[in-house]
Amino acid sequence: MSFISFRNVSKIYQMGEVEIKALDDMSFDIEKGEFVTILGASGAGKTTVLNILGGMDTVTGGHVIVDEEDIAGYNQKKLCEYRRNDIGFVFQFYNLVQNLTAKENVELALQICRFPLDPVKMLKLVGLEDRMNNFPSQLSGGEQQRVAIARAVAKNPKLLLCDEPTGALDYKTGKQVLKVLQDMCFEERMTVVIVTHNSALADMGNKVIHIRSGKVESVKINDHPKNIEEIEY
Amino acid sequence: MFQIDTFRLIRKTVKRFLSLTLIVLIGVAFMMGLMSNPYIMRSSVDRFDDKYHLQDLQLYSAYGFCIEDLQALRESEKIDRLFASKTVDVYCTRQDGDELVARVTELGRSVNQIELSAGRMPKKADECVLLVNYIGESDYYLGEEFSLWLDEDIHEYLKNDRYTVVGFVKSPEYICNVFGTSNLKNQELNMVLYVPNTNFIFKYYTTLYMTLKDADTYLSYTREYEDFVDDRSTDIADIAFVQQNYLKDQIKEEAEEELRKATEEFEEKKAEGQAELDEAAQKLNDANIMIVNYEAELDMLNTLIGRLKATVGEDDVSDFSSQAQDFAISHGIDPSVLYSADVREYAKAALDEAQNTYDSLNYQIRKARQEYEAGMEEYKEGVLTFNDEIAKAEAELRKARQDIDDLPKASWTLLDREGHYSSYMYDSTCKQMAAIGYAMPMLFFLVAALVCLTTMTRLVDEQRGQIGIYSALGFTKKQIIGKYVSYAFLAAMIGGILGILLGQAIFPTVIYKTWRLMYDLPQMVLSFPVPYVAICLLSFLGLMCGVTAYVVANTLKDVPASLMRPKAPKNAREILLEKVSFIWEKLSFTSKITARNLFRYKSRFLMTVIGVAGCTALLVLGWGIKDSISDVIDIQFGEIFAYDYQISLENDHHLEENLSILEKDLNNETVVPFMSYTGKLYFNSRNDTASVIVMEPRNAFVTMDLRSADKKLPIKLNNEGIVVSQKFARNNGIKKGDMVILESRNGLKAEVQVSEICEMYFQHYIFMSEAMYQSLFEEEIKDTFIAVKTDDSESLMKDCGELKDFISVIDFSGMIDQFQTMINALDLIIAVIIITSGSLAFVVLVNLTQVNISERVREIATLKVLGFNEHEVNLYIFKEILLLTLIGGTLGLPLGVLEHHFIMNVINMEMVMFGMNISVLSFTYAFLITFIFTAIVLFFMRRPLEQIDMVESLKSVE
Repeated sequence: MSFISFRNVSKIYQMGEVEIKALDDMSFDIEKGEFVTILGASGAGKTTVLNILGGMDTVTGGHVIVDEEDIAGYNQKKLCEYRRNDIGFVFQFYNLVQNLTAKENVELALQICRFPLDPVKMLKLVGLEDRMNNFPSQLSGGEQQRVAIARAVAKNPKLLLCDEPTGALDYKTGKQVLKVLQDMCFEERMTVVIVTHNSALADMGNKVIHIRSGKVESVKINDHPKNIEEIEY
Repeated sequence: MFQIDTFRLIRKTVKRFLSLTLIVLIGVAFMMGLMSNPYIMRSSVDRFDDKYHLQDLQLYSAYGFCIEDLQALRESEKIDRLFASKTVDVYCTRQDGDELVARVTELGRSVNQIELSAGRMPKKADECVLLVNYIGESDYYLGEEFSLWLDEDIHEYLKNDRYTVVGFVKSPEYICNVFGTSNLKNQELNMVLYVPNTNFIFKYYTTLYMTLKDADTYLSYTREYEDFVDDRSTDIADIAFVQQNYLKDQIKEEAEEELRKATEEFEEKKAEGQAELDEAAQKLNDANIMIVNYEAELDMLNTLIGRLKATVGEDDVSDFSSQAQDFAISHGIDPSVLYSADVREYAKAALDEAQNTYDSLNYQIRKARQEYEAGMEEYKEGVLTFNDEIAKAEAELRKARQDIDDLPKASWTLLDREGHYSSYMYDSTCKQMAAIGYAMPMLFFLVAALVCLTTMTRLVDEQRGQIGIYSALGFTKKQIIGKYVSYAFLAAMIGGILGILLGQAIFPTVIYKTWRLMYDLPQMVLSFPVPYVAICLLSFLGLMCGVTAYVVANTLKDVPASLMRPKAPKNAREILLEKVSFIWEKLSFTSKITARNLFRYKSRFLMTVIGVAGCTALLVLGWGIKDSISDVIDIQFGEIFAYDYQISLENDHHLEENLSILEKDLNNETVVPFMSYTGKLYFNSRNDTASVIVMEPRNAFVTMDLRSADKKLPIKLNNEGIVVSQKFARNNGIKKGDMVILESRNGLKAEVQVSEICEMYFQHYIFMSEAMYQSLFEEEIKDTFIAVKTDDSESLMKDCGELKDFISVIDFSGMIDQFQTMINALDLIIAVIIITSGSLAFVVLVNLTQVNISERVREIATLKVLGFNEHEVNLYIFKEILLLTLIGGTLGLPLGVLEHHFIMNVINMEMVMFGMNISVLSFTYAFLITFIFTAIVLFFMRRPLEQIDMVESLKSVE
């Protein structure tokens, strides 16, 4: 049994009279400690996968197994628990709380989970020990995203879920952020899933899942993930 | 196109538009309702006054008025209607035995007319219509019979003394539920009976009522009206000055004439009586002489009998004395028989006869003597009676003389409506309402300004890009500002018009209804006085447009290019609290955010704190007013005057007897006599009257709890000075230790020191010890009042029936009941205040929450994604609101105290000292209700929070 397993997952949105099939019988597996990239053009169903995997949306059919639990059958309350304890989420636009300092933003996550990690250590890990007491508005985009990663990781989640983590960043800072994510996976043994439309990021992980029109197009195992420095996009 | 965009903007931001409309609506409703309320109150009553021709002026005179007086007044062209009224105050016994004081006056009035509210008008002389002012239900009914009486003969005043109630009426003359005092020992007047004028059999009119020409074109109680009446009444005062002595002179002349006649009659009768007595004396004298003569004859007869007896026993009868011969002749006996042969026989017969004569004469004398003695007795009595009567008559004549000499000065008292009790009371009520009407709307105005500022700032922030585009397209600043100003204008206009309608629909009606508990008011006339409508609309329109223009102009300072980029979020800053790291570190992140937010958005902070503080303050005010008035009763009649009944007596002649009657009844806990009179006090060129209570210190201690006004320390009556009640002291600027001049019961003046100012809530009092009074005035103490403490009113009433010189008994618990009704009326006002403060809190909190939520949609969605549960998310937003409520509520408490002080000073009544203390319970209520309002708002705000979709967190920043 894989750590994470999508089994024949379908998601149908009812838009008035029209049914939109966002996910159509999708299946894939993710192993513990893997660095997975889910690739797809817009409209392929990326966001739906993200929402379902992140516990923000429910499925219409099929099973989603995460660490031997089928979250497809979860109610709102259990989903909230799942988000709280099992998921670390990294947003495209960082979504830091403007009114809290970097350190406080990390601490924010800790307040709600069971086995948090030390926030200062986390910030050190992302290389921001000097900016701990700055407010988000005083940080660059890359720095903000690194704080967001620290916040997600500090929860000690089963899965680090990233939505276009470099989408709002320039090339250089984007790379720095990706490096942090890669380190999280390869050095801290965190399972990382990146959802992106940028195929250049495909080579940096262990596994690349291409999706198109709500279906898995291909799953490519990459035994030798590229170092971030080698990736150009 | 540009204007279409305004409507589209409204549609898009309908919630915000509504919240602007709502605050204007509430603000205007309050402003309009409260400000125009005194006008509505006045105009409603004014219409009634004009319809039934309420007096503008009224004339009183101790002598009444005669036809000539009326004629003199009719010459004035200023007078429109003149009505001369005959009135008498009487006791009225109802069928159930209740005794009341009634004023009887006539129907068919041209001034102070009456309106029939039930039944019909009288058709017969013994029918009446009744005017009763009552709180709550009246138990008078049509067909009820009243029997009227007076201590003297009522038939000197009224033909009938029994009347049947056939109708109920209202009159502008009596709209206040206190009718004032009657002429019967100043007892409270309970009702007015209007009866056909054939019933009045006294000669002179009691009162003259007048209306002035054109006075009804002015609104009663306004300055213009008062000036008009002042101006016109000088004429009448002039007539009064000339005419006022006319009736007195006439009455005096008549009295002199009568006295003269009476004196003559007296002299005549005196002479007659003397003559009669003299005659009687003469007769007695004659009788006496006769008796003496008879007695002489009797003596003679006796001698004769002796002789005859001798003769009968002897042979020789030759020497009959000449006496015997005379006797024989006088008795028709031939003296020769004395010498006849059988003279003996004859003498025997003569002796018998003489014996008979003697006996009858003797009897006659005895009778005559008896008669004489009876006559003598009668005569002596007659003399005594005569002398008595003469003395009496002489005293009467002297008294009549005295009365004529003592005839009071003739002076007419001219009263305008300020001297008319009902009008005066109502006017002061209207003035109080006006003061409140100007104070309260200010709060709403301020909050409306802040709500507008917050809402428009947020709107303009959201519209930044749009504004940038307009600006870039070349629209002028004026045009762009105009667009948003027209948005605010529309909101203010809609809110304003609705507010005026709503305000007029609610406030005057509720307030008028409340005052109906104290006044018998006519139908309310609702109107929309233009000046008030203009003030309300213009002020709020100006406010809304002004604030909006300011906000937009501020934004337009940026260049278009920067406007089209999102506004950098307001920088978070470190706050002072962070320096105290041991506290800061312990705070949860929501607390940290809350703390920082408070300092980040100052206008929001101000808006909420002022709004919530206003809400709490209003509630404190509402309950505070109730506390203040409760104090009047509870402390006044529960603590300060610790006795239950006050008996008043005509004089102190039988005081000891009366006291022992009361003391004998074991139900009476305390029985204490005291002296009380209404005394004048002079201080600093002012003078004022108060009830002076003179009591023995020991008695004062058991019946009253006198405490110093400032420190509430017990006061003992002593010989160092007098104790003055606090409101009286305040009204006259008297301080402890001041020297004042006080009048005694008989009007003597003496200087005395004020040794203490005592706590007192109702009416004015001066207290002193008996020893103090005596040393001050060297006058006798006359205790004509008795204070009684008892639980058994029935047995006390029975006791009172036995008292001598009894006048009345006042039941303090009855007064408490009356006050209680007034306090219950305040519940309605408190309800209005709760609704008011609730709407205030509601608008402010909903606005704040909305702005907070709309601004933080992204944060909230993020928190949800991070796994915060519903409760934690709610807390994230609500903690700030709760904290602001806490701050606002806490600030609201002292603010409420200030407001309370202000309002209580405004509704200041001359006789009443309102308590200034607000109970802890009232503060608790105010605070709790504020939080309940907050809780309600938060409860309804949970849904929009719940509805925020987590997907919002994935969206790009606008």
